[in-house]
Amino acid sequence: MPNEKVTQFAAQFRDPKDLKRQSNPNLKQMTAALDGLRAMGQEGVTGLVDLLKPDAEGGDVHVRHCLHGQAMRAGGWPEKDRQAFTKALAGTLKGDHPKQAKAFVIRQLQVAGGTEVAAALGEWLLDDELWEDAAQALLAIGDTAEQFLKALPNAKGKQLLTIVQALGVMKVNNAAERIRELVTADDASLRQVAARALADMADAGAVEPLLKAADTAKGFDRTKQTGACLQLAENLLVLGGKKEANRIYKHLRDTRKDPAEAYIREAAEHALKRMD
Amino acid sequence: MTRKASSLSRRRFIQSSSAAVAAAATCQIVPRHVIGQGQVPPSETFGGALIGVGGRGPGTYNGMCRGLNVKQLALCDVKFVGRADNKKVYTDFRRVLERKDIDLIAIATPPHWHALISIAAAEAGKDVLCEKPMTRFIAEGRAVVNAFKRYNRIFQIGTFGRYGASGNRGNITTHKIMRSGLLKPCEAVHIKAGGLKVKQWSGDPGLLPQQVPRSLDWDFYCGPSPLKPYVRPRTGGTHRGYWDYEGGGLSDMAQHHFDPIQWTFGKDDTSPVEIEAHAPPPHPECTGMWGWVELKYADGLTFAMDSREWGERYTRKKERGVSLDDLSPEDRKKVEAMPDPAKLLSFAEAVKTRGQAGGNAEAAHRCAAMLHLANIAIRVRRKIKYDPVKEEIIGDPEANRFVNPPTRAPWRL
Repeated sequence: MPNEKVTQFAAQFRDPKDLKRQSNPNLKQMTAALDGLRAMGQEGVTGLVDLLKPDAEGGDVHVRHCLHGQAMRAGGWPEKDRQAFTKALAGTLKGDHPKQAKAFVIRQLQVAGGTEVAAALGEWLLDDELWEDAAQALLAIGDTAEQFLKALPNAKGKQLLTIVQALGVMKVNNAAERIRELVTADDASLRQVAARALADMADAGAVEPLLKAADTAKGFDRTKQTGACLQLAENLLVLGGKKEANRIYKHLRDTRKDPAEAYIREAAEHALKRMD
Repeated sequence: MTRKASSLSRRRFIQSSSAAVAAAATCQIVPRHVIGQGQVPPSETFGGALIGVGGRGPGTYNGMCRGLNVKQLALCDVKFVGRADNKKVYTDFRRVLERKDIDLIAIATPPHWHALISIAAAEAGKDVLCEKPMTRFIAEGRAVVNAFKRYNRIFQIGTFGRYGASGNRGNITTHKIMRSGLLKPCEAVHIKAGGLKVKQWSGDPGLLPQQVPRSLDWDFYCGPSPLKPYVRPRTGGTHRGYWDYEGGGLSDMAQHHFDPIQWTFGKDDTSPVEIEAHAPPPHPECTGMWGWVELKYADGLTFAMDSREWGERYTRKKERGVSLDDLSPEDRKKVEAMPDPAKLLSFAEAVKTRGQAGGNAEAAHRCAAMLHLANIAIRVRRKIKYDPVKEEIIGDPEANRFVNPPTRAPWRL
């Protein structure tokens, strides 16, 4: 049974379509509803999640607006209060709510959650419907590499693509060995994501595999693989890897002879001059 | 402020463009790379492509061609499924960028694609004119700046008000005063009241999922943004009202309004440090109403946006300019002795000379960042502090997540 008090609070959030037609939505009323829900603690959170419906059913636009409004406010609360809110929210992921309701909850955790909900989100990284939402929430929260590393061995297809990219964004160097194997994958997107992830990690061991991949690639794949080489060189330089960066730039300068790639040669030359 | 858009209708543009593309395919164009980068081909003819043909497509493409002899070689749009021949008409921009005979790219997709296509174009050695707003979020702008610097390519944003503004004597004086750094603190206030199309470009929430049209690659359309159920208003101009693709009328219009002002006040290389807004709780999917936003720079300069469409009016400060009278006699002499700023290069001049365009990536990014910061303040509804060097929101990790939200693989800045 829906929580009556929560239902009443959520009803204070009118359909935002009304806001377009009325010049003065009742800010006071909406704020009072959010304050009332906050005072209800966990019951206020779970009560709202219980009101969420699958996308195809609809009719919960005011509930989504209300829950999101609270998630956006939670970032400004004292840490203890924010965590109480996000833990209550994450707790609902264990329930039997529709997957699309869970997706919405995960997107609110992306806004308000911290590492306290990382494990709860990590459980969805290999879910057929929720992996992408979970990955984005974990990436936004940050310091969540453990969840991606745990999922990596069993990830396939688009989930693998997502996890490899995430590991790159988070610069998780201890995944580099596995990701180096993917630079020669059959799938062009996976090759490109793997190359870029290694560049993001400033993986010195990736210099030769990436140069080889860029040399043999064609078309847009070659463009992206070459871009990954240049990114790797820049990231290596930041970490003091002058020798490896030098190797990349000289290789690109000396091998890009096609007039159509003159700009790559010039970019490498400029970088070498800057290093001197 | 924008130059007058072509009166050509979109339908007519696409029809005539398709014919032009077909004709160009039979002509011989000497691509720029054949005679070396930075050189104008003997025929002075450039190969051009338009990515994102709807809405602003024709205007953006025409803006790119102004002052240049451009043969249109390709049209690309994710709604060309079933029409694409991968010779003249494409659905996948990556195939367009592979073409060695294309030098110039006009981008008029919804903004969530602007940065990624711009960067990919730079990586492929192309110059770009990109429709405003430059980006969907702040980190995209920095990535575009870095890419165009790395590959030494030309970037120009598709708003041109700064060209007129930078020719005005009063604006030049203001620009010099501000760039001198002698006015401390700066008490100038610029208020943009109205004209930000808040209601017009608010989203349409709560629609039930619809059947994806057969001509549209919906997954590709969503691209780096979350894959959501298809509803028609998420495309075709009304995309502006969805956070996944743009930031409402504020994002859509403020780059027009503030780009010339940013130049005038000499803020092309920095961003506001304190931002505060008056707005109701935000909707998760759709942009909505807001009252005002105040953006303050480190030197005290204040920009304000007053929607005039909801809530309180902005009354905190009154409009105020700067003048030489604000300076000591000694400082006034110093400013008067300063040379005028260099003339801003048009896209055509920049392409031909390999100089920096007036609406270059850094300037465009700083303006886009301003409006993204305004939208973040509207969404979090608390005062935010911003570090314009690190390009991070200070002391508010939740608000900072909107500076660089994750993108959907394989799309990566």
